[in-house]
Amino acid sequence: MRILLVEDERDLAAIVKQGLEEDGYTVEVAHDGEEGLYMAENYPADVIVLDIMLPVIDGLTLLGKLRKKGVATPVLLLTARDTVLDKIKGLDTGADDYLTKPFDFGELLARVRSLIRRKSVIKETLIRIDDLEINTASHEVKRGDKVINLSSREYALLEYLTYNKEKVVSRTDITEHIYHEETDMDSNVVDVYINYLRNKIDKDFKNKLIHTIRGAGYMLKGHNI
Amino acid sequence: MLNSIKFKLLIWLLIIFSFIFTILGLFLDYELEVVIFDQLDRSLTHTLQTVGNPLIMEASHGQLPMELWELANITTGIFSERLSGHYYQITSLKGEVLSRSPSLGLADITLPIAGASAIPTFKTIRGPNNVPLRLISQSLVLPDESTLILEVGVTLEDTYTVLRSFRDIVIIVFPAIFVLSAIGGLIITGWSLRPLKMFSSKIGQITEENLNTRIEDVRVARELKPLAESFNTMLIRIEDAFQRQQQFLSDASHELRTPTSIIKSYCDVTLSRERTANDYKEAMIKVGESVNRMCDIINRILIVSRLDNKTLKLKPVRIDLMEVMKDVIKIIEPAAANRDIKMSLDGRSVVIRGDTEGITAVFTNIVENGIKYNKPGGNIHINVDEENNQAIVTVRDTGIGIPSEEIPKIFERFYRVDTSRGQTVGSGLGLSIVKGIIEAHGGRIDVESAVGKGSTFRIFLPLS
Repeated sequence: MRILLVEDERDLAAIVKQGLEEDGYTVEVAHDGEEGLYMAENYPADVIVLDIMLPVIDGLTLLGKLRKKGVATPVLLLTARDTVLDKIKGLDTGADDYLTKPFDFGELLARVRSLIRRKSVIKETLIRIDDLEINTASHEVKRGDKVINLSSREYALLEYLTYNKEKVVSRTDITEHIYHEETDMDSNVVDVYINYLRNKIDKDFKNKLIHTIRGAGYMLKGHNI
Repeated sequence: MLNSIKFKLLIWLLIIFSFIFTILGLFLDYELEVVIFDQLDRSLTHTLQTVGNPLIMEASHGQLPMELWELANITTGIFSERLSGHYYQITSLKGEVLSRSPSLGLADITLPIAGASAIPTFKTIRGPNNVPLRLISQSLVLPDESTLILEVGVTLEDTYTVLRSFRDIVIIVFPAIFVLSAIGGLIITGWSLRPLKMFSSKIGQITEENLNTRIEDVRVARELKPLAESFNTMLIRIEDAFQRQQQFLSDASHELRTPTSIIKSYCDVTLSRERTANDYKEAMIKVGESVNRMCDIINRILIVSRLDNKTLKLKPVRIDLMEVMKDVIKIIEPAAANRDIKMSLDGRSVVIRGDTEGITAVFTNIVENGIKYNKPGGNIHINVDEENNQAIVTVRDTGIGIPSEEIPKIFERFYRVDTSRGQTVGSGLGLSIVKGIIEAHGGRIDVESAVGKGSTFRIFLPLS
């Protein structure tokens, strides 16, 4: 999943980015409102974490512009102001959730997960596809009784496929949501990671869950629908 | 009790009332006596004429002895009853009683002999039986040139009774009226002090929660309007000060939230898994930086609050501003060199009395701003001079400038110029502290600025 973080305090942006990445997200950072608006419009993210007090364009103006242009990406507002009026104003401008500084990092992660679920048809944190179990909160993956250890990149790919289960996702979709914008689109990095994932999830099992759809992309699909 | 307006009003009311009532009573008593005596004297004059005129008439006919005899013996009515209180007596000039009313004759009592006087003379005497008597006397010249003295008297017993009962009434009525007016006074003072009571209960209800309460004009008595107005003005000032205080508090906590979130995020993320010693070290460095930033903000807030309640301790000594500026340039030099900004200083040595640390902080802050908001390759020119008993330090930069509508705001607390691209770190308390310290020294600061061209700060300080 790809997160756009718009935060002008560089130290804060750096640690939040690190924390989110360690949790398996792909994070792009913008340090002011103008840059944030450009990135939100041009590089689709799954969630935008947006500070309100920003130079050049403030967070609420940025949010208003995004919503006006029809960008419906879930937005989590970060702010140092915590009056009820500030919250009302933020939510009315089009924010989906609200977090007051200083925040607990675990809460930030939980709220981000909740925003991702909101967009998907899957509403549980524990997702089952046949005998594959994915805990999106703890990032624990099991197939049958066997615990599967995935790297954060592999987990991110599996999670993305899971949230889009029974749908065909193209290589471009995957690149956009899992990798940084700088990643070379032509590289076969997606295929490489799909291969890693197959080795860990499907290789030792009779029922294969990851399917290649020729000319279109990949799909995660169970047999017992 | 003695201090209460109500009590004082009542005391004064009663004193004035007693005074007026006493004067009125005495006046009425005197007037009544005058009226009654006047009436009495007129009736005596009338009786005198009734007795005297026939005497003169009869004397001209030589019938005087007969008339005198008749007066003494065949008079009827009140003059004929023994000691009735109504008397007449006719005497000769020698004091010989020629005739008297039967009321006297029957008791064989004579009235004191009056002196001769052609006009009627009145006096009050002790008459028969010690009864007070009003007496009129007049001498009558008969046709034969002889003179008689005629006296007519009437008892004053009834008159004195009337006057006494009048005084009795006054003495009974006075305390009653006194008590009644005391009660009335209490009611009236209580009633007229009611607006004050309402006023004070209104004031009593005001707390920090409802500082926006005002004493409404319509319901306040005209006399209390000035009080209500000044009270409202005071409330506005208090509310304003309170709001500024709250704003300050909220801004201050807002400023502290950013470093706090950095510290918290570093702790949360770093502790979420096992890390290398180097990772922990890096996190600690970041936490340390944020803690320093918080300390700095807290120190500044402390200075601001001390400037506010005037408890900032300044140690005034003689300072040469030229030397101060040389030090400031030394401090700033590395930062200026970093951004390729040239600094120059000219003017002359000017001595003021001031707190070395405070004055140095002021100029460091101003010159630092000149660097922070400057363009790379720009310059800062500093001039130290004196004029009209004032030291003037001019700091001119070639920076980004301040839009004219922002200029009044730059000395506000937590104000930050927004046109720079997120490069400015700081609490935003800088210029408000600068201004506070300068004013604590009895000086002032002003700014001229043109966007894109630069700003000129001028600091005026009194000479030592």
